[in-house]
Parts: sequence; structure tokens; C-alpha cells
Amino acid sequence: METRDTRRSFLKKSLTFSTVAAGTLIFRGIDSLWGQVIPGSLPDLVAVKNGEPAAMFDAAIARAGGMQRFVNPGQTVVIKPNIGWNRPPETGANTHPELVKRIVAHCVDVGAKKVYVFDHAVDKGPQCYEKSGIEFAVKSAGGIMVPGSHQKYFQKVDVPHGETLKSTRVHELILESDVYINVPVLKHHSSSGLTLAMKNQMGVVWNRGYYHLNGLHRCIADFCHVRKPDLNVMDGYRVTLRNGPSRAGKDDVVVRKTLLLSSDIVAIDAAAARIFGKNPEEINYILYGHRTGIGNMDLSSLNIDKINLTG
Amino acid sequence: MTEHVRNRPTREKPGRPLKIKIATIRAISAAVMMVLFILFFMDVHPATTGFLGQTVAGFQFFTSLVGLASGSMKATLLFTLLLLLSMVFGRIYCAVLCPLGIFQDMMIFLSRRYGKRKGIYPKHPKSYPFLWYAILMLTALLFFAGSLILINVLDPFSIFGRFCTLLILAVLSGMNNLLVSLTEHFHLFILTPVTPGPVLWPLFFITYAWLIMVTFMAFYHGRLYCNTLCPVGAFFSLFSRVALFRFSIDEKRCTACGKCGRICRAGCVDPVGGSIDLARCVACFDCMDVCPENAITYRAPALSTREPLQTRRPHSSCPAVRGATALSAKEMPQALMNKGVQKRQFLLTSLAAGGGIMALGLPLGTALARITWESPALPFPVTPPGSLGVEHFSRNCVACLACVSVCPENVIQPGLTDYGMAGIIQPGLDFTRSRCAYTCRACTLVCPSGAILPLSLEKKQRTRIARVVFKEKRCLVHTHKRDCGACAEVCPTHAVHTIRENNIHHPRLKPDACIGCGACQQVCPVNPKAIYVEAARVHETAAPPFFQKQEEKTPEKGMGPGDDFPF
Repeated sequence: METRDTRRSFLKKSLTFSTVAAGTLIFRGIDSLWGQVIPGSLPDLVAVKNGEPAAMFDAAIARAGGMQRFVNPGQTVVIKPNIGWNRPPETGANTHPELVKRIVAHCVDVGAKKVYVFDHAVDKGPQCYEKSGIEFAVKSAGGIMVPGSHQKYFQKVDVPHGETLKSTRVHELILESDVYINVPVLKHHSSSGLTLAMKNQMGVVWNRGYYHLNGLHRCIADFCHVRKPDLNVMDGYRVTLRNGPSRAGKDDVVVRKTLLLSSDIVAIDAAAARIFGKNPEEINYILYGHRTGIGNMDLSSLNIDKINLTG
Repeated sequence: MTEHVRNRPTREKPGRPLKIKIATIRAISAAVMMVLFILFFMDVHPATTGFLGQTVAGFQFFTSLVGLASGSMKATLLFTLLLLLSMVFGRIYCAVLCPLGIFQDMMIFLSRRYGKRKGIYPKHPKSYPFLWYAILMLTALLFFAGSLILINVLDPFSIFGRFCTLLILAVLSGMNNLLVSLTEHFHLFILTPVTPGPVLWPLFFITYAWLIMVTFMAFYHGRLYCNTLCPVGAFFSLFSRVALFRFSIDEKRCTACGKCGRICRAGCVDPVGGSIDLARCVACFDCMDVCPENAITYRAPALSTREPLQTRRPHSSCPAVRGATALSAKEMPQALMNKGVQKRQFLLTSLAAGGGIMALGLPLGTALARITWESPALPFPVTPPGSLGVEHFSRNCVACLACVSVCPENVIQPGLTDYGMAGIIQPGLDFTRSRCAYTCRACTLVCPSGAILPLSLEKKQRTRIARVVFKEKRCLVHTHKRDCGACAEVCPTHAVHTIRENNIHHPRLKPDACIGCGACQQVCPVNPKAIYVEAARVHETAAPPFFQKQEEKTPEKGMGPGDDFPF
């Protein structure tokens, strides 16, 4: 009995898997078509809701012109999710592994030479990589996990136009890779109010204590002058409403099933703040980023594409 | 000596049945134990380390002794078993259970293979019984007075542990980082570089010097270390003299070829005098193995119906008298005549020495013990979770540093005199570079001496090892009126959290929930620290984690499940 059940379920699984795979291929074909047909009217920001992380990303990147708009064949890509905490996916403390996996898969698909993923975790790095499910997800999609918790990877750079942050040590992959994709998770944060795309970039520098000591918001905004991400993907699938960033209670984390995508790091943070229920001006680093011209937090002036996957 | 050694070719005995030599069995057992000790101290796998800590490493002389002293049933049983073993088989502990002894055997193996003298050990077997027994008595006295100082310094298990933790692991992590650089040169990210913990240089040099000394002594003088400096060896020697099973040389068979004397790693066989100093014998069985005449036996005279074999031989169980030199045949009758006198002399000497040491040691021991326990003003280190508090920890820790090697955060660090002289080298938690990880309980599983008792993760997450102190006047949120919140971000229980006033997040305490993990202290960017922890001398049970109910009015304005995007 048991063996037959197993065989049947195996067959079912493989059938489902191949259907999904085939579907994906067809879907991607349409993606690239869109990307080529309407290049002039690309949105500044894409907002998706009511889908699983991978499906929402598929829809968002298709609307934004497909991954080939951001990654050329043969280029190296670095993806920086939030893998700061030794916490499983259901706690919403780290970026959803399925989302990271899908982004890696898209990059591989359009011919990226290497797709690197790392984070300078707050907890013990290797444990975070494993517990968050991201290491497994990335490897299964053909990406490469790179250690981010050792000083040797961090190169000193000057921050042009930095008001408070004049120089800092940055992970060499951020400096060397052709494409930089920032994949934060939308969370309440006890020290900055919210942790979003700009705040997520604290995980690419070595000395975070300097930020805290000299002005958290100002340094977060200043860092954007080193290198702005080519693409930001905000994981709003699970949202931590309070007691963030890492050890919120069970009731504090809600499934919101949203996703934002933009190459404007300030705009995506402003939109995420709105989803959370805050005015973007309340979060000082968004305000500073807007004022210093890093991006645009005025959502009304942006071309926003909204997608509802159920409707 | 040489004229008495007959130069005969070794005879092949075709009739002799093939059997596994007992020396080989001993060597294999020792090698297996060595592998287990290395698995234990190198923290190859947490589960293995935990299992070995409770079994193999717990079955050590001092780890079981301190356990016995604090009333652990298991430790008492293990200690009794060790005593019984040595009463029956002699210093079998030194032969197969002691990691430092096996380490020396490895050096002896190398020496026999590559050394110039090919294992021809002492022409004049050295023995310093006065020093040896003085160390034993001092160690015992200090232990009874409540100080572990000599145990921590001289326990062979702990010494080996420190070799592994402070030296070999450092070399291995260096090699790992070299390999990382090499593989990453080819863009292969298959290894993770490790950041070694801080180095306590005095301890590093002492350990290094000790390694050199033990290696040198073993290479050139066999087990001289065990028979001169080791208190465990000295203790078991008291039993091996009178153990049930003893080595002896059958005078009828012995041809005085001297092979046993040359191979003996303890330098305790006198082939000319035909005697074995059982006190120094570490039960390696090599002499039995090497004897071409099968003249050396290992049997229980008390159980044997036959006449004991070596009764007529000068039995040199009295190292004080026999000293270092093997007696030549000419001296033998003299030795026989003097035997009674010598015995009496030895008794007197040891009594006098014992009295002297007692007179000197007890006040010294009490004084050393007092330094630790009667100075509440001292800022004690934070002890690992499961250690119940400073006193339990310091009374039970033999400073093997297994917890240091197993701690993934490198937060447990050895000290020198953090617990006073009585608790020399005992480790504590150092929050300057790291914190005690909320989801980890590795140290509670490995401690072989019961200084850190096993703790479930649920209990560990509610065990307060230190108390949080917040000096708001120093906090830059207060002084500069801008966000920092580093402490609240990392606090696993929200004992420190933030409340928002005028769009600035101010740290606030809920001390009941604090478990003293030290994360806030580690990350606090101001100097001196605005938030830090102070050791709880006795560990407490903390309240469950604290959760704020509602962060202002925000979630209502936020996007609900069915809502449209608010932009």
C-alpha cells in the first residue's frame, strides 16, 4: 500500500512540477514580448498584491520590462536580501526565500554569468543563511551564497556627497558586480520605525555601529551615494506590524501578500511606508533621500502600475 | 650494565600460537580514545560533542571528582568506577583514559620511529617522587580548602583541552581561512571564513610553553611528565602499587637481556635488578610484548594459587629509596640488606614531608579560597547559562575550555584570575565582541564536570545570567535627540524596547524580561556604554518575553487584506 501511495504521489508531484515549469516558460515568453513592445511607457514602480511571492514577482518584473532590462547576458549580479536573523521564514524577520529564489532564477534565465547572494547578518551569518531558508532556495535556483560576516570582504570606499557618512567599508560584491538587486522585507523596526530598502543596505557595510553613533537616518541616506541598487524588490508578503525587527510575537506578523518593485529606492520605501500605514515623511531616511535627490518619495508624481493577482 | 645483557639472537618460535598482543590492544584503545577526545574538543558536531562531554569527558579523574564534591550521583559513580579500575588493573587510567597521556604516547611513538635513540629510554630512569607527591598533596589540600587552582593548572584533561582550544583550533581556523582565500580566488564560495575570538596572550604563552615541555619530555624521556608533575598520575600510583593485577618479572625465565628496560616508556623496569617500579608503571604492556622469554607477567598474586613469582627479587615499590638509578648486580645484595631500613626511612620521609606540606598548604589553600568567595565587591564575570551562578561554576569548573571551543559566538572566553586565584583560567562571558545567542545552548551540553548543567532551550531562554543596567544620561537618543535603538533591535526578549516620542525612538526597560545575554551591551555605540549587563551571582528565572501591544495608531491606517493600495 505504502509504496503505491508513494509512487502515485511522486507521479503527481512530477506532473505538477512539469506543468508549472512549462507554464513558467510560456509565461516568461510573454514577459519578454511585453518588455520589447512597450519600452517607452515603463512604470516607475510596480505594486502587486494577492499572490504568492514568486507569482507576484513574475507579474511585477514582466510589467517592468522583464529581467533582461536589468541584466544583460554575461553580467554578474549581486542580490542583497534581508538575511539578518537566525529566524525561520514564517517569522517574517528575513526576506521570503521563495522570492529570492525566483529573482535568482530570473537572473540565471536571462544569462547572468554569476548570481551572488549575501547579507552581513546581525546574528551568526551561516546560521541565518540556513535557518532563513534562503541558502537552500538560492542554491537550488543556481545562485551562489557568499559569506557576508567577515571583515575581509569589506573594502573601504569614500562616500561622495556624504553629509555624515564620509567613508565606509562595503562588501566587495556591491562594488564589483554589474547589477545590484536589493530585496528588503517590510518590517516594523524598533530603532528607525520601519526597515525598508534603504535601511536594508545597512547589511552591505561592515561598521553599522558608526551609523547608530553618528546618525542612523542620515547615514542610511548617505550610503545611497555609494551605489544605488539597479533594482529594488520589496517583500511585503509577511509584514511585521510591531515588536520588530526580529522577534515579534505571533500576532504581530500578518500575511499581507504584497510586493513592490522599482529602481527608485526612495519611491519604493515611500510606497512601502504607505502600505504599513505611515507617512513617508515620518521616516527620516526617506525624507533625507528625497531631499538630497537620491529618489522621489512623492508618489503622486510617479507612474505606478498596480496589479491584483486575484482580480 | 651492558656486560650483563646477553647478546643472543632473538629466537623465532614457530610453535607459538598467533595471538593479538595485549600491548596492541592497549594502543588501539588509546588511539580510539584520542579520536573521541579530539572529536570532543574540536567541536566537530554539536551532538557528538554533547554526547562525549557527558560520557568520555565525564569519565575523567578531576571532572568526576569535582562532580562528586558537589554531590552529583553520576560523577560519584564514575569516580568510584575509576578507583575500582585502578585498584584492580593499576594505572590503566594513564594508559587509555587520559588524553594527555595518550598525547605523550603519540610523541613516544614518533620518538621510537624517528628519534635518534630509537626509544632507548633512560639509561638512568629518572624519578622525582618527592616533587611528585608534594604536588599531589598540595593539589588535594587546596581542593579541600575550596580552591581549584592546582587542578585547573595541572589536570591533564584540562591541559589537553587547552592545547586543543587555544592552540590547535587557532591553527585550524587559520588553515580554514587560507583555504577560503584559495578557493575564493577561483570564485568558489564553498567555505566560510571564521573570525577567531580574542587571544589572551599570557594564557596562550603558558599553554604553548606547556605543549613544548610535554612534547619534549615525552619525546626524550617517555612518560616522565606523568611521573613527576601530574597529580592524577601520583594519585593512581598509590593504588597501582597494591593493585590486584601487577606486572612482575619471572626470574627463572629472565635472561636479563634488557629489552624491557629499554622499551619502558615510564622508565620503571629495571631488567638487571629484575624489578618493576609499579608506582611509575603506566600499564602500557610494552614490556610484556617485547620480552623474548615471556618472562614478564601481568597477573593477580592474590588470586593465584601458585607462589608469587617475584617475591625473592628486590621489589622497588619505594621510589624515594630506589631513586633514579637501576641497581647493578654488584649492589644487589646490599640493596637486599638495606631493604628494611629503607622502608622505614621512606615512611619517615613521607610523614615529615606530608606534615610540612600540610602546615604550609592548608593556610595557603584557605587564603586562596577566601580571595574568591569572600569578596562580594569584585565584579565577577557572567557565567554561562546552566552554571547556576558564580559560586557553583567556579567550584566545579576544571578549565578544560570545552565550552569555549563549542561556543559559536565566541562569547565564552578564558580568563586568568577573573574568579580570583582559586578559579584560575576559568572562562566567563565577554560581551565586548559578542553576545550569548538566544537560540543556542551549546555550552550547557558539553561541560564534563557539571560546572554548566544541561538546560533545555526553553529554560535557557528564561534563565537570567546577568541583569541589564540602562544609564539614560549616556544614551545618545537622550543626549542628541536622534534615533539609535541599536540595543532594542538586538534584544531577544524586548527587555529593552523603544517607545516613540516626537518621532524619536527612546529605549525603555522591562527588566523582568531581561536574561542578560549582553547583546545590548555589545552593540551600544557610546563609550562608556549607556546600556550594559552586570553578572547575576546567582542565576534567576526571567519573566517571559515582553511584547508591546500596539505601536501608536499605525496599523489602522495601513493597508488591510482587502484594501486597495494606499497610493
